[in-house]
Amino acid sequence: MNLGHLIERVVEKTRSGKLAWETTADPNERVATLGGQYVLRLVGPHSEYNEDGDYSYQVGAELSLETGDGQAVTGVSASATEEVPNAGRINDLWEMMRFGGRSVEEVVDDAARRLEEL
Amino acid sequence: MGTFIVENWAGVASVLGAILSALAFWQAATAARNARRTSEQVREVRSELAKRTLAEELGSLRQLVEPAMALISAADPQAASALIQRGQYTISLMLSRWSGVLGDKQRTCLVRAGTQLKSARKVLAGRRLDGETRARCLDAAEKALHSIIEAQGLALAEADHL
Repeated sequence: MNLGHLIERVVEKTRSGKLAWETTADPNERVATLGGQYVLRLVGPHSEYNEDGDYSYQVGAELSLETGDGQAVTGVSASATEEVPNAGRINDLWEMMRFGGRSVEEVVDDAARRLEEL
Repeated sequence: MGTFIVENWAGVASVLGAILSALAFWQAATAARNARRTSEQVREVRSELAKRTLAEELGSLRQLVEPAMALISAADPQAASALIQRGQYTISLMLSRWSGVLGDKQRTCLVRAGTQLKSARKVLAGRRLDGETRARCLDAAEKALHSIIEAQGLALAEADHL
Protein backbone atom coordinates (compact mmCIF):
# COMPACT_ATOMS: atom_id res chain seq x y z
CA MET A 1 0.00 0.00 0.00
CA ASN A 2 1.67 3.22 -1.13
CA LEU A 3 0.95 6.86 -0.40
CA GLY A 4 -1.21 7.21 -3.52
CA HIS A 5 -3.48 4.42 -2.27
CA LEU A 6 -3.64 6.01 1.16
CA ILE A 7 -4.82 9.30 -0.38
CA GLU A 8 -7.45 7.46 -2.41
CA ARG A 9 -8.74 5.65 0.68
CA VAL A 10 -8.84 8.88 2.69
CA VAL A 11 -10.87 10.57 -0.07
CA GLU A 12 -13.27 7.57 -0.27
CA LYS A 13 -13.81 7.38 3.48
CA THR A 14 -14.26 11.13 3.75
CA ARG A 15 -16.80 11.13 0.93
CA SER A 16 -18.77 8.30 2.57
CA GLY A 17 -18.66 10.12 5.92
CA LYS A 18 -16.82 7.28 7.67
CA LEU A 19 -13.74 9.31 8.47
CA ALA A 20 -14.49 11.78 11.24
CA TRP A 21 -12.49 14.94 10.60
CA GLU A 22 -12.35 17.52 13.35
CA THR A 23 -11.58 21.19 13.36
CA THR A 24 -8.65 22.33 15.53
CA ALA A 25 -7.46 25.65 16.91
CA ASP A 26 -5.95 26.34 13.48
CA PRO A 27 -8.72 27.30 11.02
CA ASN A 28 -6.61 25.94 8.16
CA GLU A 29 -6.26 22.46 9.65
CA ARG A 30 -8.38 19.32 10.15
CA VAL A 31 -7.43 16.13 11.99
CA ALA A 32 -8.81 12.59 12.08
CA THR A 33 -7.82 9.85 14.54
CA LEU A 34 -7.46 6.30 13.20
CA GLY A 35 -8.25 3.78 15.94
CA GLY A 36 -6.10 5.62 18.46
CA GLN A 37 -2.99 4.50 16.59
CA TYR A 38 -2.55 7.19 13.93
CA VAL A 39 -3.55 10.75 13.20
CA LEU A 40 -4.24 12.14 9.74
CA ARG A 41 -3.59 15.85 9.50
CA LEU A 42 -4.88 17.92 6.60
CA VAL A 43 -3.64 21.47 6.16
CA GLY A 44 -5.43 23.67 3.61
CA PRO A 45 -3.70 25.69 0.88
CA HIS A 46 -1.60 28.42 2.44
CA SER A 47 1.18 30.91 1.80
CA GLU A 48 4.77 30.22 2.77
CA TYR A 49 7.75 32.53 2.78
CA ASN A 50 11.00 31.70 1.03
CA GLU A 51 14.13 31.12 3.14
CA ASP A 52 15.10 34.79 3.11
CA GLY A 53 11.57 35.81 3.96
CA ASP A 54 11.40 38.38 1.17
CA TYR A 55 8.52 36.88 -0.79
CA SER A 56 5.71 34.42 -0.23
CA TYR A 57 4.32 31.76 -2.49
CA GLN A 58 1.14 29.68 -2.50
CA VAL A 59 1.36 26.05 -1.36
CA GLY A 60 -1.33 23.43 -2.03
CA ALA A 61 -3.10 21.44 0.66
CA GLU A 62 -0.95 18.95 2.59
CA LEU A 63 -1.85 15.58 4.07
CA SER A 64 0.36 14.02 6.73
CA LEU A 65 0.31 10.85 8.77
CA GLU A 66 1.48 10.79 12.39
CA THR A 67 1.63 8.14 15.09
CA GLY A 68 -0.77 8.45 18.02
CA ASP A 69 1.95 10.05 20.16
CA GLY A 70 2.56 12.76 17.56
CA GLN A 71 5.59 11.47 15.65
CA ALA A 72 5.56 12.32 11.94
CA VAL A 73 5.46 9.28 9.65
CA THR A 74 5.08 10.87 6.25
CA GLY A 75 3.45 13.78 4.48
CA VAL A 76 2.56 14.80 0.96
CA SER A 77 1.60 18.05 -0.69
CA ALA A 78 -1.05 18.41 -3.37
CA SER A 79 1.62 19.89 -5.60
CA ALA A 80 3.66 16.65 -5.58
CA THR A 81 1.63 15.26 -8.48
CA GLU A 82 4.68 13.91 -10.30
CA GLU A 83 6.09 12.04 -7.31
CA VAL A 84 2.90 10.72 -5.70
CA PRO A 85 -0.16 9.34 -7.52
CA ASN A 86 -3.43 11.03 -6.48
CA ALA A 87 -1.53 13.87 -4.75
CA GLY A 88 -3.71 16.38 -6.62
CA ARG A 89 -6.75 14.91 -4.86
CA ILE A 90 -5.58 16.38 -1.56
CA ASN A 91 -6.86 19.75 -2.75
CA ASP A 92 -10.22 18.07 -3.51
CA LEU A 93 -10.14 16.63 -0.02
CA TRP A 94 -9.73 20.08 1.46
CA GLU A 95 -12.63 21.37 -0.65
CA MET A 96 -14.74 18.45 0.59
CA MET A 97 -14.01 19.53 4.18
CA ARG A 98 -15.46 22.91 3.38
CA PHE A 99 -18.60 21.57 1.69
CA GLY A 100 -19.57 18.67 3.95
CA GLY A 101 -18.02 15.84 1.92
CA ARG A 102 -19.07 17.22 -1.50
CA SER A 103 -16.69 18.28 -4.24
CA VAL A 104 -16.78 21.76 -5.80
CA GLU A 105 -18.37 20.21 -8.94
CA GLU A 106 -21.12 18.63 -6.86
CA VAL A 107 -21.83 21.91 -5.09
CA VAL A 108 -21.96 23.75 -8.45
CA ASP A 109 -24.27 21.07 -9.90
CA ASP A 110 -26.51 21.33 -6.85
CA ALA A 111 -26.66 25.13 -7.17
CA ALA A 112 -27.49 24.82 -10.92
CA ARG A 113 -30.26 22.30 -10.17
CA ARG A 114 -31.77 24.60 -7.58
CA LEU A 115 -31.65 27.48 -10.05
CA GLU A 116 -33.58 25.38 -12.55
CA GLU A 117 -36.19 24.66 -9.91
CA LEU A 118 -36.88 28.37 -9.46
CA MET B 1 -9.02 -61.01 57.87
CA GLY B 2 -5.28 -61.20 58.61
CA THR B 3 -5.06 -64.44 56.64
CA PHE B 4 -6.92 -62.89 53.72
CA ILE B 5 -4.51 -59.93 53.61
CA VAL B 6 -1.47 -62.19 53.83
CA GLU B 7 -2.82 -64.46 51.10
CA ASN B 8 -3.82 -61.56 48.82
CA TRP B 9 -1.17 -59.01 49.80
CA ALA B 10 -0.38 -58.12 46.18
CA GLY B 11 -3.99 -57.34 45.31
CA VAL B 12 -4.56 -55.43 48.58
CA ALA B 13 -1.39 -53.43 48.03
CA SER B 14 -2.41 -52.48 44.50
CA VAL B 15 -5.91 -51.40 45.68
CA LEU B 16 -4.35 -49.35 48.51
CA GLY B 17 -1.89 -47.87 46.01
CA ALA B 18 -4.70 -46.90 43.67
CA ILE B 19 -6.63 -45.26 46.54
CA LEU B 20 -3.56 -43.34 47.69
CA SER B 21 -2.79 -42.25 44.12
CA ALA B 22 -6.38 -41.05 43.63
CA LEU B 23 -6.16 -39.16 46.94
CA ALA B 24 -2.88 -37.55 45.95
CA PHE B 25 -4.28 -36.63 42.53
CA TRP B 26 -7.39 -35.11 44.12
CA GLN B 27 -5.24 -33.07 46.53
CA ALA B 28 -3.01 -31.87 43.72
CA ALA B 29 -6.00 -30.92 41.54
CA THR B 30 -7.61 -29.03 44.44
CA ALA B 31 -4.35 -27.20 45.14
CA ALA B 32 -3.99 -26.29 41.45
CA ARG B 33 -7.60 -25.07 41.31
CA ASN B 34 -7.09 -22.95 44.45
CA ALA B 35 -3.84 -21.57 43.08
CA ARG B 36 -5.55 -20.70 39.79
CA ARG B 37 -8.43 -19.02 41.63
CA THR B 38 -5.99 -17.05 43.81
CA SER B 39 -4.00 -16.04 40.76
CA GLU B 40 -7.18 -14.86 38.99
CA GLN B 41 -8.19 -12.88 42.07
CA VAL B 42 -4.73 -11.28 42.26
CA ARG B 43 -4.93 -10.40 38.56
CA GLU B 44 -8.41 -8.90 38.99
CA VAL B 45 -7.26 -6.80 41.97
CA ARG B 46 -4.18 -5.65 40.05
CA SER B 47 -6.29 -4.76 37.03
CA GLU B 48 -8.79 -2.90 39.20
CA LEU B 49 -5.98 -0.97 40.89
CA ALA B 50 -4.48 -0.17 37.48
CA LYS B 51 -7.82 1.14 36.19
CA ARG B 52 -8.29 3.23 39.33
CA THR B 53 -4.78 4.62 39.02
CA LEU B 54 -5.39 5.32 35.33
CA ALA B 55 -8.59 7.15 36.24
CA GLU B 56 -6.64 9.16 38.84
CA GLU B 57 -3.97 10.09 36.29
CA LEU B 58 -6.68 11.17 33.87
CA GLY B 59 -8.07 13.28 36.71
CA SER B 60 -4.65 14.93 37.11
CA LEU B 61 -4.61 15.58 33.37
CA ARG B 62 -7.96 17.33 33.66
CA GLN B 63 -6.41 19.51 36.35
CA LEU B 64 -3.91 20.75 33.77
CA VAL B 65 -6.38 21.39 30.96
CA GLU B 66 -9.10 23.12 33.00
CA PRO B 67 -6.82 25.93 34.31
CA ALA B 68 -5.25 26.21 30.85
CA MET B 69 -8.72 27.03 29.52
CA ALA B 70 -9.14 29.66 32.21
CA LEU B 71 -5.78 31.17 31.22
CA ILE B 72 -6.79 31.27 27.54
CA SER B 73 -9.98 33.05 28.56
CA ALA B 74 -7.91 35.47 30.65
CA ALA B 75 -5.72 36.14 27.56
CA ASP B 76 -2.53 34.75 29.11
CA PRO B 77 -1.19 32.66 26.21
CA GLN B 78 2.25 32.02 27.73
CA ALA B 79 0.96 30.52 30.97
CA ALA B 80 -1.75 28.60 29.09
CA SER B 81 0.84 27.26 26.66
CA ALA B 82 3.06 26.04 29.53
CA LEU B 83 0.17 24.08 31.06
CA ILE B 84 -0.86 22.69 27.69
CA GLN B 85 2.70 21.54 27.07
CA ARG B 86 2.62 19.67 30.40
CA GLY B 87 -0.68 18.14 29.34
CA GLN B 88 0.82 16.97 26.04
CA TYR B 89 3.79 15.48 27.87
CA THR B 90 1.50 13.70 30.33
CA ILE B 91 -0.58 12.23 27.49
CA SER B 92 2.54 11.01 25.73
CA LEU B 93 3.75 9.33 28.94
CA MET B 94 0.35 7.80 29.61
CA LEU B 95 0.10 6.35 26.09
CA SER B 96 3.40 4.63 26.68
CA ARG B 97 2.98 3.60 30.34
CA TRP B 98 -0.60 2.32 30.01
CA SER B 99 -0.27 0.80 26.56
CA GLY B 100 -1.22 -2.65 27.89
CA VAL B 101 -4.21 -1.36 29.86
CA LEU B 102 -5.76 1.25 27.56
CA GLY B 103 -8.66 0.04 25.46
CA ASP B 104 -9.12 1.26 21.87
CA LYS B 105 -11.67 3.88 22.90
CA GLN B 106 -9.51 5.22 25.75
CA ARG B 107 -6.48 5.36 23.48
CA THR B 108 -8.49 7.19 20.81
CA CYS B 109 -9.68 9.69 23.45
CA LEU B 110 -6.10 10.35 24.62
CA VAL B 111 -4.74 10.70 21.07
CA ARG B 112 -7.62 13.03 20.19
CA ALA B 113 -6.94 15.12 23.32
CA GLY B 114 -3.23 15.29 22.50
CA THR B 115 -3.94 16.36 18.92
CA GLN B 116 -6.25 19.17 20.01
CA LEU B 117 -3.81 20.38 22.67
CA LYS B 118 -1.00 20.37 20.10
CA SER B 119 -3.02 22.58 17.76
CA ALA B 120 -3.95 24.96 20.59
CA ARG B 121 -0.32 25.34 21.66
CA LYS B 122 0.85 25.94 18.10
CA VAL B 123 -1.76 28.66 17.60
CA LEU B 124 -1.10 30.24 21.02
CA ALA B 125 2.61 30.46 20.20
CA GLY B 126 2.30 31.93 16.75
CA ARG B 127 -0.47 34.50 16.71
CA ARG B 128 -1.78 37.54 18.45
CA LEU B 129 -4.51 36.35 20.79
CA ASP B 130 -7.48 38.19 19.31
CA GLY B 131 -11.06 37.20 20.11
CA GLU B 132 -11.40 34.71 17.25
CA THR B 133 -8.08 32.99 17.95
CA ARG B 134 -8.95 32.77 21.64
CA ALA B 135 -12.30 31.18 20.80
CA ARG B 136 -10.63 28.62 18.53
CA CYS B 137 -8.03 27.73 21.17
CA LEU B 138 -10.73 27.44 23.81
CA ASP B 139 -12.75 25.19 21.52
CA ALA B 140 -9.73 22.94 20.92
CA ALA B 141 -8.94 22.76 24.66
CA GLU B 142 -12.59 21.96 25.37
CA LYS B 143 -12.53 19.10 22.86
CA ALA B 144 -9.40 17.80 24.58
CA LEU B 145 -11.09 18.08 27.98
CA HIS B 146 -14.19 16.18 26.80
CA SER B 147 -12.00 13.39 25.45
CA ILE B 148 -10.11 13.16 28.75
CA ILE B 149 -13.39 13.07 30.72
CA GLU B 150 -14.68 10.32 28.39
CA ALA B 151 -11.50 8.26 28.90
CA GLN B 152 -11.75 8.76 32.67
CA GLY B 153 -15.38 7.64 32.65
CA LEU B 154 -14.43 4.49 30.74
CA ALA B 155 -11.61 3.73 33.18
CA LEU B 156 -13.90 4.16 36.20
CA ALA B 157 -16.66 2.08 34.61
CA GLU B 158 -14.22 -0.75 33.88
CA ALA B 159 -12.83 -0.61 37.42
CA ASP B 160 -16.36 -0.80 38.87
CA HIS B 161 -17.22 -3.67 36.56
CA LEU B 162 -14.36 -5.82 37.91
